[in-house]
Amino acid sequence: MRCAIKTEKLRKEYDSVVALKSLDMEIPEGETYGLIGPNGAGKSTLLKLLATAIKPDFGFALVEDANIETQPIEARKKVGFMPDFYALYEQVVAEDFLTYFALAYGVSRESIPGLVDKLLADVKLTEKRKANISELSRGMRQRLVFAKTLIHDPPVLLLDEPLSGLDPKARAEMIEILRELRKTGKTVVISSHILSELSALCTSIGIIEKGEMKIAGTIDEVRQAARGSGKVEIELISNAAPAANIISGFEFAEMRAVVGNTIVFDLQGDRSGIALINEALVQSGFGVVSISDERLNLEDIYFKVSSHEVQ
Amino acid sequence: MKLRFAMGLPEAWRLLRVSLRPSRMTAMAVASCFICFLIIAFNYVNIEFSKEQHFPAVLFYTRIAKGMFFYQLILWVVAIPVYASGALSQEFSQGTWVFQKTTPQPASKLLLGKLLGAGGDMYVASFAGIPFLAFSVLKCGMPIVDVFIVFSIFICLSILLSCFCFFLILSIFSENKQYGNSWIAFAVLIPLILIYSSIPVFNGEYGRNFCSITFLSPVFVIFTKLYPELCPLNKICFYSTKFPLIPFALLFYIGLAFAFFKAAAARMKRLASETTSCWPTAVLMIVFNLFFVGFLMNSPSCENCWLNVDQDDGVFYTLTFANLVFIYLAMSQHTRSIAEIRPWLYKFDSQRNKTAFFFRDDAPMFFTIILLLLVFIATSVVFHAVYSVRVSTLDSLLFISGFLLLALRDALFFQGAGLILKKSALQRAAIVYLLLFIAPTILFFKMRDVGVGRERQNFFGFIDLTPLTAFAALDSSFTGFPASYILVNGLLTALFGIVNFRLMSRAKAGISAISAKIND
Repeated sequence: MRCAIKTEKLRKEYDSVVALKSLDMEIPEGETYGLIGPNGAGKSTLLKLLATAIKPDFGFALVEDANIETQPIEARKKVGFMPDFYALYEQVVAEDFLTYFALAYGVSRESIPGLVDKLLADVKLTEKRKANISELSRGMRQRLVFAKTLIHDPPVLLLDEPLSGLDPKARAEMIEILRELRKTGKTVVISSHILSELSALCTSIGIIEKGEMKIAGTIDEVRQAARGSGKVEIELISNAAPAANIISGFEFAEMRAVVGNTIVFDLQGDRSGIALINEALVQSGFGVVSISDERLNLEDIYFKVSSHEVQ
Repeated sequence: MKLRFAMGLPEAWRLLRVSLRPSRMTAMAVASCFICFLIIAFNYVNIEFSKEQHFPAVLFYTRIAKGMFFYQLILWVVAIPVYASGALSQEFSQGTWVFQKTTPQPASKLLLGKLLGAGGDMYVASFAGIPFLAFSVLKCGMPIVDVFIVFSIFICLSILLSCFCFFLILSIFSENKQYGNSWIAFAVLIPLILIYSSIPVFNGEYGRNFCSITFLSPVFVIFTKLYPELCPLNKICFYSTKFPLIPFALLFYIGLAFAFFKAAAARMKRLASETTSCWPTAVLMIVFNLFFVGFLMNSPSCENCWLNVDQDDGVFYTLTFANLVFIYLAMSQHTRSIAEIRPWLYKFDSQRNKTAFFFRDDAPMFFTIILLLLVFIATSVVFHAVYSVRVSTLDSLLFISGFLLLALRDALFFQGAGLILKKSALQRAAIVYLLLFIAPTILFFKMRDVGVGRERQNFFGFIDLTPLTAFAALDSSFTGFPASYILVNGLLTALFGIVNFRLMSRAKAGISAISAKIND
């Protein structure tokens, strides 16, 4: 699949701190990519680099084939960037704010009024179109800036902490807008600390720490890599001890305990092993009541990766 | 407001949309009319209480017209540049810059938008004051064409000062603030020009000899129209040819404004991730040389020239000194911290046998200085060839080589200071520089005036270190001095060069090591 974003040996230093060490990353077109990492990991620096707000010390990055250092203007046309911290022109009215950026990105004059109307409707700000930005709440401002990132219909969106600082209602509204965005086929990179909400939005993730990409891929791939050996529990109708012998026969299973009719074991590798074990038990005449395996959520994966359990 | 206009300059459209709201326009117009009324009232009261019984009406209206002109001057020459520069600096102080930075608008378009759009309120105020001005001008019998001339001066000055402020702000609010501050020193030149060129006004006959340079003073040019009795000269001498003062001044202002605008746009681009080279500085230096040579060329047909240069070698010295100032200013601008040189160093390393481009803005400063010195030598050679300057070739070579040596020495010194003192490198370097070089220079000239031989001799050790040693070298009373200063400064330059080279590689390795420690 074609890469929407590609970086190679990307490095950025601030005075004596290395924000990005030597980052190699590829994000396929159409992905909704979650960028996860602690404060100071280099997430915002990476997004700023891709948005051409800062320049790299070394290495290169391509955004839709435009080199951020040598073709910054091309790159900017292809990127919609929403920074984590920003201020707005307080005296400008909402629709003028969008019109201004439409003009700045070179959107054709005829299409601007219609486009502004549509975007204001999409982010539920139609009623506030004539309001000064100073009159808008935090959530409304966030939505307005989000509309600004879409104004030139960029194929790549870089959203730095789009959910931070929002109250629950505003956050729910923003998530809804981001969900809708997935249908458009745009490549979206979202950096966030709110991992539970990222998992509902993202198709793939990258965990970044101390300026290095620790692990990256689709959520299932990352989960698999992070999982290593996972605990599996199989409940049988009866007679668990002979069944445990069968399970022990599989190389990828390591017995942990037999408690009553329940067998607990560690499964190495992917989940297809569970299917094989289930098949073997059924063929041997054991009645399988339930199978439960440990499914890691994003937080589990993140903590596993950050505690160096996963390399 | 029409989007057709906005397509060209969205920034101007945004700013004008805010300032040209009906409520705001009304408030500005009312305030402006009130100020005009106050000007009229002040003049009326002044005349009423004056002791003169018969005060001609023409004089009364002339006073009001001058008051109105000064009101317009404040709007155009003070308020509009303040608004324009405020529109730019607020982007940094408020935090909206990140949005501007990531749009594909060229820097020049953005700056032009601010230049034209930020003064919306002031345009309204000025427009509201025009009926009062027109009425008083008609009543006092001032030619209408003069009103247009004065307004054209206002507009040109407004553009010049706005562009200068843009340049200053973009130098100060750069990603590395330390070298930006150096341009504050450059800002000092503006009031100096204003003060200097106002001197002729208050110096009668003596001052009139300086009238041609006074076009550098914006205030003075306006005075030539409003108070012609103060300076009857309205011509300036350029390349031995007389030119009318005001068109020349306006061209000069616009040319200078263009240079500042281009420099500001280049600095803005760098912030927005594009890289620039120092070639424009070199081009500016050539233009600068050609411009000042034009003023220095004397001819019997041109009386009351800027500088009354009797000898050709005086032209040579003046030009050299002007270049010295230019190169040292450029040097302060191009001082880099290791954080900025680092990308260049990485590229230098990664290309192994190749070299990163020496004359890019993130390259070590002394390459820029070498480029500027080459430009200086080239223009000097042309100058010698064309105008057959009487200074001997040996003296000239000595002079220029000393100059080259000193500029290189100081470039390396500044660079080294930047590498050692990190955050406030330039400020600290400037203090050291002041103590080490400038203070002895001033003392030297003081002592020379006193003429106490022994003290002067004792002072030579310090004099060798000052940038002005090149001038001292050509003084015939210092026999044998050139050899000593070339030797001492040659050794100093080599020493600074070696230290700098070591610092550069150590700084890079050192910072990488620190970073590795922090990150691992």
